Amino acid sequence: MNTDYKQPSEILATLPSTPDVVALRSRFPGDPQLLNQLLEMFLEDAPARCQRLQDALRAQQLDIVARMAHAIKGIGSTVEAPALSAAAKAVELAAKCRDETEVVRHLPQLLGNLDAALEQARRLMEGPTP
Amino acid sequence: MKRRSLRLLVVEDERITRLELVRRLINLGYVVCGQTGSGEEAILLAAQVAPDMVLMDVTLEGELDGIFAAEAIHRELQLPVVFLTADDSPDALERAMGKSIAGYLLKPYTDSELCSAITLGRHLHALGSQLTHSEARYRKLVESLGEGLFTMDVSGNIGFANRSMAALLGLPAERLPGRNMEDFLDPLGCQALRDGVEQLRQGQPRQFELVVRSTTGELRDVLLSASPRFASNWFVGLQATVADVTERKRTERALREAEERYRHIFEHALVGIFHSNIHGRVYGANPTLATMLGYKDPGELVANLPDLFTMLFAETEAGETFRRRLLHFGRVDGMEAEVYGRDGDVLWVSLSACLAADSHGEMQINGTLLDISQRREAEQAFSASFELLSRTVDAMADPVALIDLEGHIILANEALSMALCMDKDKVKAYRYQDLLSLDVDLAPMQGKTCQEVWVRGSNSVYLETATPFNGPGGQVIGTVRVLRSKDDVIYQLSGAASPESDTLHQLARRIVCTNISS
Repeated sequence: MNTDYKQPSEILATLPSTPDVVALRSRFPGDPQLLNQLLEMFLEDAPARCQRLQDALRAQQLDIVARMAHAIKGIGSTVEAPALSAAAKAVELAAKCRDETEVVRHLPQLLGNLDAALEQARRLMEGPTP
Repeated sequence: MKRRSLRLLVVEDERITRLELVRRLINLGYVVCGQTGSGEEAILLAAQVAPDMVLMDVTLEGELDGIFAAEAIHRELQLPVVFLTADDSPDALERAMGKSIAGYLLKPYTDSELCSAITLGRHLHALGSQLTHSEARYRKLVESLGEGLFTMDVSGNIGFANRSMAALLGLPAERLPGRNMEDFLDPLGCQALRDGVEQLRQGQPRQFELVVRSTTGELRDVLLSASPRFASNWFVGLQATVADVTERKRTERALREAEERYRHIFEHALVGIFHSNIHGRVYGANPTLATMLGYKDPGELVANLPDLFTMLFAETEAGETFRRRLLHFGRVDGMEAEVYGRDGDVLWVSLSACLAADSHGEMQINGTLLDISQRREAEQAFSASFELLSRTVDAMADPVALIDLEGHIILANEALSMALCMDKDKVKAYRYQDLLSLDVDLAPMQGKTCQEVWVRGSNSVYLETATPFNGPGGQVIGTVRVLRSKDDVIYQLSGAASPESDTLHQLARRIVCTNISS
């Protein structure tokens, strides 16, 4: 048996849950305005997508759940928040498999990572120029 | 094209991702000439701004997803499209790549991965365009072929068919794929096709003929030149060109029938027929000629008559004359000559021949021989009879003429010459009726008839007796006219004792002359 094998949740736990500011800065050096714009959009779009995901889950519209999770995955990737992207991907896969139980199981991790990422983004926006 | 001047259209529904991507592209030196989040707008924008490439997210807001939009852009505007997506499922990849798209880049990606995807995408698109043009060229070639072209699996199901093939079967080309070739064949044709497929399985191309019935019921003879198709060494069907040979088959049938007809004539002709080369080497004769010359069949004749000019003719000179005339004039008509039969018998023939080119352009001699031995014998017999007649006629005291059916004098005796006071040879230059009374009747042929005639220049009246005269063939060719002086007739009628009585003779002549003049 391969003892190196790790569960997705274990991998997820090793990823940073908040935007990696250093990585973001390195992508657009000397363009703080762009970073602010990205964070601003993140603060607006990510919660909206998450809200729509939860509404769809309640209405058992798993295709919309998958699509919103896919969007959050992309947004997380854009703001260098790999833990958020990984959690969103787990939800997306479960929704695509029409496995509601699995969606519900992965959803708290998505929400937790999203909250942490939003909090970090707000701090970056409100604080001195990062 | 340098990266700096490469114009890109970005299609991404997540505005944050779009903003980040656009900025990255600009920082990397590309020109972003348009950006949108909807598939519908992407198609319109692509048409308006004519980018060098479209970067397209798979999941888009609106009715059209990225794959549909990309397909439309690629099809209508022939622009390269690179997909940027976070969906790494095999289904998504397969769906995207099945649309002839230039590239596929999974999110998240680094700058270098993005640049590589754009560069590779442009390269692939250029190759794809070349391939498309090449395919279009070959498709045009295939479609413009006069011959039918089609592919078929082992069960006879048609895969591809060009327009000529479709026209042959009476269907539009697009409706042929999926149809079974056996739908267009009769049971014999189906069997022939199956046999052909089995033979192709051995790997060798082959040809076979079929009769196809089009959807309009028209029957056409076709020649299939088929070669086998293999996939991983597994025989999967055939590809074939189909030539419509209906006209050729019709011509062949007509030729065969004509040949049979002419062969029948050749073999049953009443005249002997031969073919030889220009040097007189006989290589064909009909049974009539073989029988005429005493051979048991044409084969024996051909084997025993290697030289027409020297071995056929009884007189060497006749053979040479025949050869010379034939080569000089190109034909000989009705030359009469004696020829040798198989056993050395000599027979008279009427020989006609002409030079003609055979199917290979080689000159050959075609000729006919008519056995005229009997006619010649009859002519000789007639000639002898005529000679005898001439002598008899000359010896007769009464004027006698032998005339043909039109009145030309063939023979006149001395007595007639004297009666006409004309040289005997000159008499022959006249027609009989010109020398006698105008109302002389030339008609009586069926037996002896008598009529009264007046000989010009002599003032003499004669009683003419006409007797039909037969030629060598037994047919009537003229009449013998014997003229008896009317004086003599009167003398005989009056019961006088002697025709030598000049007084009475002259008296009778006078009476007749008086009667005629009155």
